[in-house]
Amino acid sequence: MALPLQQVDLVGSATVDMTTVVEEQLTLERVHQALARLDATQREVVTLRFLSGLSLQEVAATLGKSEMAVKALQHRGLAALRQALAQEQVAL
Amino acid sequence: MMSDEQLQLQLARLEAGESAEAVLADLPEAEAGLVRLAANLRALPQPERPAAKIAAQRQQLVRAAQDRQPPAVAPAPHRRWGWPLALAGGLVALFVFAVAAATLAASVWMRPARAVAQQRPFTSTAIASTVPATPTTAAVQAITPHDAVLTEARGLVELQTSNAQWTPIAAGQAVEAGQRVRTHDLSSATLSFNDGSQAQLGPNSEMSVDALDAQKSGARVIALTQWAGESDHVVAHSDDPASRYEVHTASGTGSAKGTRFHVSVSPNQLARFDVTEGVVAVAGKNTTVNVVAGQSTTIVVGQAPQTPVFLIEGEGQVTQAGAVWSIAGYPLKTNASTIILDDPQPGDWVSFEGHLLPDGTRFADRIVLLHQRIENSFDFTGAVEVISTTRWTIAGRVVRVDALTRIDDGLAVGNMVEVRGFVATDGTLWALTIQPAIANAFRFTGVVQTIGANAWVVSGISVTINVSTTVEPGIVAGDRVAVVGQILPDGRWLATSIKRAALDTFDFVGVVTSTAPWVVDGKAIAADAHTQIDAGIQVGNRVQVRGRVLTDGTWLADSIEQLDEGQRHHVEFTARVKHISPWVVGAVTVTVDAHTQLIGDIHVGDLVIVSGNLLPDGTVVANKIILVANQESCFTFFTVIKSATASRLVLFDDQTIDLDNTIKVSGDLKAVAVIMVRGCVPVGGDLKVILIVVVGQLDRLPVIVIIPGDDENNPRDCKAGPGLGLGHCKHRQPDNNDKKEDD
Repeated sequence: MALPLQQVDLVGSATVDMTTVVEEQLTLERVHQALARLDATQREVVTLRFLSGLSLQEVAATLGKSEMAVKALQHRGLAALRQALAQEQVAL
Repeated sequence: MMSDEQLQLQLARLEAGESAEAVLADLPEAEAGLVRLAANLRALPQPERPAAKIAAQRQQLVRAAQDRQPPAVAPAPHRRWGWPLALAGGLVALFVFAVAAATLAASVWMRPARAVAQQRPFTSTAIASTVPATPTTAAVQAITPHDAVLTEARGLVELQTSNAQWTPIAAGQAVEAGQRVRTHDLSSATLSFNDGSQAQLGPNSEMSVDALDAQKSGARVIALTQWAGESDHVVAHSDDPASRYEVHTASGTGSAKGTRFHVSVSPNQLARFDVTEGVVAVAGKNTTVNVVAGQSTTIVVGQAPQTPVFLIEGEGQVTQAGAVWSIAGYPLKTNASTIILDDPQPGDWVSFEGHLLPDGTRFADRIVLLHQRIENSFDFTGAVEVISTTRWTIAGRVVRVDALTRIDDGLAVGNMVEVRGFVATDGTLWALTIQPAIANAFRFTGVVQTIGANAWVVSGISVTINVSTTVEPGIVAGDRVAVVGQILPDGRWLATSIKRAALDTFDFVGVVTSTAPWVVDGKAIAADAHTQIDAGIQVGNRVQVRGRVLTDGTWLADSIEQLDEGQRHHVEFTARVKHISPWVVGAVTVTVDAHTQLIGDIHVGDLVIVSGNLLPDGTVVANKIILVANQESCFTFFTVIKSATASRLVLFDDQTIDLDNTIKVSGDLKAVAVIMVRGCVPVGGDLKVILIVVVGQLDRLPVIVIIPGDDENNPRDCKAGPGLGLGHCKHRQPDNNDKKEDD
């Protein structure tokens, strides 16, 4: 999966340490890889909720699910992501 | 184990602004893992992106959700956690959003230099900043195949109906085939179509909708004519071969099936098509050229399109000017056709745009000054304590004055003043100007939208008028004006004068109501990598914001400076490091503490920029010390891979890139892949490639059409040099993959 190219813009800053940026990109890529191993619905919820910054209510409305269902999905999704990251040996 | 509800309660605390440490401290370790993960995801780096793009992505996300589960509820207009939306590219299920994110991401990357180059004739509206200037955005609503909806409008946007009258329109209004939309100065508009495609008009642009049948499936027809200005197009993919998305100009037409491109029409009807994703067929005078991602072509009225060229752009410090410029140590040829704005000089920071010549050298089409060389300057606000002919004491600091110091009349001891000047090498503060400090003063340039008896609306800001306001006669809606005044305690912006203005800057003092994104006294402020922002500014602080109004109306800050009059005195100067621990820079003793940002590997003798607060004893508490000599400059260019091995890429121009594990690679590097290459050059150093991203895959090396008799008219010097032209030069020897097209 291609990285979001916005990350590249950071590299253009004269005040950003290049190594850090590259490491952050690698971390992001690994997060993506771990996310890809989640159930599709869990992945949607985790992505919208924790990466896109939507509120519980917004995610529920966007996906057409109840807030209770989103709470359960975010719980299971985070747990699954944590396990997947651990298998990838990514500390996050 | 915590329940779903308990987890949500903890996450809600994070969303409400509590620190992760505080939330985690209340949890047993066994239960803290998921909350910590959520907090860390939140803390992942977030690139700054145009809010317009965020809004567009969000609309597409909601639209995708609507398709899935109507009726959908539009999300709230703000992001509560400010998390990295960029990562939403991983949202595979909502593929529309994902495609849009990748597309827009490419745009951001490919046009970093356009963010501030507002005076250029081919200026994109893709702004590398965070917040638009008071746009109006339409609520997400149904769009039929036979109309477009103005989903965002900034400044003054007008619609011409069948009776040829122009009337202002607002976001949410439909536009039908046969109608025209135009934008004024400092304005922009986004048209959204039923199939998900979007056309965004830049400032001073005009476009008509000729034909519209934007079906989501089957043959999609969107035909537009661009009469003036600039536009960006995001074209939804269609599998139907009969689908059309066309942008006509007086010079030629660009047709796309699922791509992203930019169209500029200059006053003499020269049209330029820049492609940022996919392929656009550009036709003119019986000739069609295929323009691939990273390429650009221009068309003169009545002529065939120019041979497409690969674009380069970037920014950096000028170390040489002349026929060959050196920017960030990177040679760029120029000639009389190169547009050079604002007279950059060696030492200044510039952006550049250009293209590859057939011999592989780089040619600059445009060089724009971004920042002048840093001078040793200071400015602060404080009460006058002592006045003499050679020295003033202001808030405890002695400031030298001389015949060159411009001092406003009538200033006396006790007055609150703003003093600006420069720091001499011995640390003496020499004043250039001393003028009264007006509480909550503002000054900005904007476009007049409405004129009322008691209030005007200028670039989305309601400006109060009273009998003391001086208004230049004859100003009408659409004029660009400079507004000077004072923000009143009740939040109103009271104008003391409104005049026509050619300048495009703003400067005001206000209270911070948000820092992410920046909002000061209710005004959204964009910031980019060049914005100097004092460390530690919090909501509620009074700040002085200075910057420029970009052509689309965005207020892009050059600086956001904290104001604690009488206590805090900003100073910035450039000098060599004399000593470390304790720090002495130039002749100034500099306090470096845990809050000081040290940028670069700084040693004694290095040239640094010190930014901080001047104390009464003449020492400086540094907020930031930047190593000047090690500032790197980065740029981006596009090319095509001719062949690839695990350790080396051979490019279409026979140049090579040696691959090693320090280069980040995204995508499958193989023959005839179009790649974007990101490189950085330390001052005085060599180019180091840091990132390669595959942006497309061609069927073959992109030999473009041969245009009979093109040489004399082609400004892209394509006359010489075999093998290095990235396929642009008709003299290039074809290889096995090449075929001439459209002869």
